Amino acid sequence: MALIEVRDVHRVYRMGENEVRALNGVSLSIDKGEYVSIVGPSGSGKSTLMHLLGCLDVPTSGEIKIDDVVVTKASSGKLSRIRGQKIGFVFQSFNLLPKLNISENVELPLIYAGVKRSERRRRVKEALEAVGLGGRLDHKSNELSGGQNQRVAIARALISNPQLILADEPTGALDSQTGENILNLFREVNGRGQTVVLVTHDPDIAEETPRKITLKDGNVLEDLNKV
Amino acid sequence: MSITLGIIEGFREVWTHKFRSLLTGIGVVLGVASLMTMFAITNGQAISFRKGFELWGGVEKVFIIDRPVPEEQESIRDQSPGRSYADVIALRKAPFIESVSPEIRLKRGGAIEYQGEKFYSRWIRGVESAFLDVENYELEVGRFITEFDQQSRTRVIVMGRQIKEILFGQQPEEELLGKQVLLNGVKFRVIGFLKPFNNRFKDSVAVVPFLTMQELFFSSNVVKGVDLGPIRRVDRIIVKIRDAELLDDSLEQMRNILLQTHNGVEDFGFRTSEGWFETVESSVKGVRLSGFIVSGITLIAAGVGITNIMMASIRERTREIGVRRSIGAGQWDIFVQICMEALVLAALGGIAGLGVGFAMVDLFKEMLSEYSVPVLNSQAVVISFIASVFIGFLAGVAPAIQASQMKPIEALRFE
Repeated sequence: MALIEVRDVHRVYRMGENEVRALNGVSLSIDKGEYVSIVGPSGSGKSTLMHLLGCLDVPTSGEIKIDDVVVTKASSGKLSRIRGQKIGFVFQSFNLLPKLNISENVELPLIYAGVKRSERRRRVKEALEAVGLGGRLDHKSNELSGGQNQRVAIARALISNPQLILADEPTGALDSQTGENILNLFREVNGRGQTVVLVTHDPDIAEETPRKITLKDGNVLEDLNKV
Repeated sequence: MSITLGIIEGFREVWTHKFRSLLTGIGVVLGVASLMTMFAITNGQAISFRKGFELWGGVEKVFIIDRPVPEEQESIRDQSPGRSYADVIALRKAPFIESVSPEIRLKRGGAIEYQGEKFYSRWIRGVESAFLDVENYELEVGRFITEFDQQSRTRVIVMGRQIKEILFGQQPEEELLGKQVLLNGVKFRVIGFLKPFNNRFKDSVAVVPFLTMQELFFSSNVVKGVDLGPIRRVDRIIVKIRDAELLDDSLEQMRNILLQTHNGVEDFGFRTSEGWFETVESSVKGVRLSGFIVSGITLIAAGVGITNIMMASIRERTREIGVRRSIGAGQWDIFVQICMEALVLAALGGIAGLGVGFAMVDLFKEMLSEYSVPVLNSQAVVISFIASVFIGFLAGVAPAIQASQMKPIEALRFE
């Protein structure tokens, strides 16, 4: 059953006089529980696609459905709720808030979802324990290594138990061993039934996922399902 | 995000930027402090004015004064006997009038002496017992002038604290009753002392029986070597009416009575304090309004400062806002966060401003102790604080709207 349906999506940026066609009629569909990588050279539109899938941006034309909701027609408030409940983001640069300690960072999505304080505490502890950081709840992100930071970010992405995890170059800022650990974590998450979409420019990483979608010049060049 | 969490985040943000917050908050501190001080000063002025007015006699006190006769009465002007004791007797029968106090005073002033100490005053008066009621005096020690004193023309005197201290120094007043003083060379016996008002003018009063003064000092009127006989003049007639609400009716009644005693000639008028009261009340209001405006401008300037710093702050935190949006924060959550931050900043400034305000009011209490002491009431404190919170909210609205309108993806990409 399709979790994501993308139909003929265009995304055009205006940069002064110039038009940049980041996406040029992309159509694809991702089922629940899939582990997909989106690859392509820089400028191929993979980041743009991820932002559209994550409801952070809206396409110039075309339609995107997530879990049977047409997000291209949803209001700003509705999009916020979809982001909060159905999607978890993992960024290359972690995007943790430096003023908050790591448990407060992980807690944020639950605050915006209106979860009660006592329950928030419990779930944050569980989530950080699950990524192996149970002993560092009060640390700030600048006291942790890159790999640890990315695990905090993953804990934050998973905290509201979303159906879809979107990761944008999650290993880009990490050494290969740490990157490998992070990828193992994604595999585990996918093993529990959550859909994971990984955006990367690294072909080796893309080889690890069962399905690989290659973008070029804003179009799907190849959609390879190895299963 | 709930308001409570917004406030907590606001405190955190202010704490993170202590110095910047301090500088921004100073405007609010000054605004709130000046608002509070202004409240206290004008409040003190109003209180001391009203107290002074009550002391003086209030709206109930009416003077009967001379007026030029109207033009059509020029020819019958001589028919009127002028202000006389007959007016006093007639007015005392009027139902709207509580008491009538006639006064004569020594035209060229008088001197009171006791063992070489001398007090000179143009306000040594001959009065009747109604004087106490009309002028709001109370007796502290001894007795006041009675009807018996009038009839027997006794030579007795009652004086205020100021004169007593000049003549007798700090001696206890009880021991001074019965002492002989000289009024323009005539022996008078001290029979009482008036309660002090702590007002120099009100406390330097000395009174003797009306008829005693008339007989002693006005029994002859020598003009060009010819004695024209005793002067039956009444210098002032002061009336206390029963009900200030019925001032106009009372004045009408008094006018009718006086037209009778003055044989139809309207050579008199009334001086009431109503106009005075209104003038001072409205000037107090004017001072208060201008104080409001000055403090208001300070607070608005402070608010603009907060808006400015918040604008810089949200720009600096564009990426943070993007991250918050990406993990589920809605526009409302961002709005609340930024707005509460501005509000917390202003409220902290407001609290500090209350502290400074209390200190300033104390300072002004020292400086203005001779005039009207500032009086701070809880209402002024509450209003001043609420004003700071309100300014904080207003200052936060524009940055909060701007922050909440940022497109998530653009905010997230912002470097």
